Amino acid sequence: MRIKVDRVSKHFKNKIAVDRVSFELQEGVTGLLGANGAGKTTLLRMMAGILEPSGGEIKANDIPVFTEEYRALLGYLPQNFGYYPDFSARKFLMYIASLKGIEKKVAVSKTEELLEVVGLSDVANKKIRTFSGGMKQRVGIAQALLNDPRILILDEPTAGLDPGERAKFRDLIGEIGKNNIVLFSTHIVSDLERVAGRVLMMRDGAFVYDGEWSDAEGDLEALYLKELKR
Amino acid sequence: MMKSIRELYRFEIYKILHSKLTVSFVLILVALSVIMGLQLSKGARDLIIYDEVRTLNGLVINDETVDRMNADLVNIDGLEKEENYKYTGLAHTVNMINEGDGLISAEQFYQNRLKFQHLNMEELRLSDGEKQWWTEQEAEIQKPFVYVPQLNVKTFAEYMTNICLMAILLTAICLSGVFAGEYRNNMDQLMFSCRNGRRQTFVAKIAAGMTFSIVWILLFTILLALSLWLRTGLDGLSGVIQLEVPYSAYNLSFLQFIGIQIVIVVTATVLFAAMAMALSAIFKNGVAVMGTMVGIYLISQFVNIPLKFRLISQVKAMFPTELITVWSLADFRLIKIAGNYHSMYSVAPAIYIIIAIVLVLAGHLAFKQSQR
Repeated sequence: MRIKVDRVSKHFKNKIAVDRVSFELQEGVTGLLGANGAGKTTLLRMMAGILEPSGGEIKANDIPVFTEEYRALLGYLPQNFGYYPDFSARKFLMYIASLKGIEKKVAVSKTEELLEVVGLSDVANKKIRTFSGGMKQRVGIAQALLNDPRILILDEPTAGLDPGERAKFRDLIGEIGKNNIVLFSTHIVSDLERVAGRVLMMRDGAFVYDGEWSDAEGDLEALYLKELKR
Repeated sequence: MMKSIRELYRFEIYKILHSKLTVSFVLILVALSVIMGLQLSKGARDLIIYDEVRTLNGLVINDETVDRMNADLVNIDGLEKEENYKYTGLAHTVNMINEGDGLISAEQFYQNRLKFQHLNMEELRLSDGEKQWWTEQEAEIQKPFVYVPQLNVKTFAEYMTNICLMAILLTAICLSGVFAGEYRNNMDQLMFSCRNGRRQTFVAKIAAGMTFSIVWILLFTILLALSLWLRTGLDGLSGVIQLEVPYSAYNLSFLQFIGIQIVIVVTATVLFAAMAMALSAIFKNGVAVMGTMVGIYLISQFVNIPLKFRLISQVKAMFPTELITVWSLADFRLIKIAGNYHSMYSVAPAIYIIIAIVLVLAGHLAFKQSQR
């Protein structure tokens, strides 16, 4: 599996959010670093097929992004994860499973499995509105994994998670990334530790760093801090 | 694909039914239907001599009947008695077109019918072709009329206007959030990133909204009919509509007219539901949908278009809330399609469905192009 992002840009009126970005992703975990407003969310939205680029194209194994075929490969957790407050976690996951076109039998077992993985089995029948921020985020992570996605795009997935949950999340992502493409954005460098094979850093809609985590571990922290101060 | 849509449809129905706004509003409308029905039947019950009125069932409206009625009428002394006069319904029919002549004979009644019919055609600016069409219809109406106590069904037919209003409010309030709610809850991002989040979800939402509206509107109609029927029965269904609109040239019984009203109300509900959901997808804001729909209703009710503007005034007459009224039986304006004339009742449901399809397509376009 290979995603090709080719000279992709996004303009909002006079503002350039993403400026002719090109890169390719293969199986493994890639971290997307950048300060607020760097263009990370816009880029991820375009890659998730919910925002049309102003220019360029995105394809996964030659499948264009705005197709059902592409979406069938995709798992996505948006930055401001939406939910129905009066749905229970279980019902919500079943609903997302139907949106993903998963057969009911498979959906039931997958929902139970993921509720267990994200530690929400005990509260599966409680309404989401009664959940803490971290619990809601775990529902979001579970829904993204329902269809065993070959492409997993996570926008600030660790927001609201406590340190223990972050560690568990990193393990989970590391496991998924062995055979699938995982791209997740964060503004916390330590989130990428031991997980991300590759790191992309964005500023003003363009990449200022694209390299292996192992190549730049020490420098990356310093570079990112420098970028944040700009 | 059908399986996916069916599963999504189930969730969409669940979402609509579990909205607090829907639950409270539907409960109000259920109560209103029952109250209206009981009020309706109370009208009939209040006639102390209702059973006596029923003895007139099947009377042919001829000279003998009208003379007997007139003879009884002159014996009435006092308003209270008049209210309980067993010929009230019949006198209402006959004297509606008496031109202030006092008591008229059966012969005058039938003559006046044709006279009023003609005047009405002139006022409505009918073409010769339309007049000819109505003359043919009139020839098919069997005369003399047979009297059937029609108080209940007549009022029921009048109350169908309220059911039509309920359809507007029900769809505007309960379906305004079908698409807008997804944007409000930030669910659109997740939805659009899922395989079935565009086309299949749209179809499921539209189907769920339509089913919800049609089922409830039929239920309100049944509740209204049941509340009436359980108390006083549904006398008069076989009566001709001329008992209520004497100079109408429609060859219809009350039962047939109520059937037409039900077709109008159901197709109008499809139209209103399509409008509410299309606007919900376009505006992405539930309040804007409610405001627009209530605004359109108010304009249709309070803007009076003179008959001299034939096209616009006829378009307005085809609004569901107008066409469903009993008095639309006196609106003789026809629609010419491929050289043939058709009554507004036969064309309007098809027009409602066509407009509904156009609205759904517009909504689909908006939903399809939605981005985050």
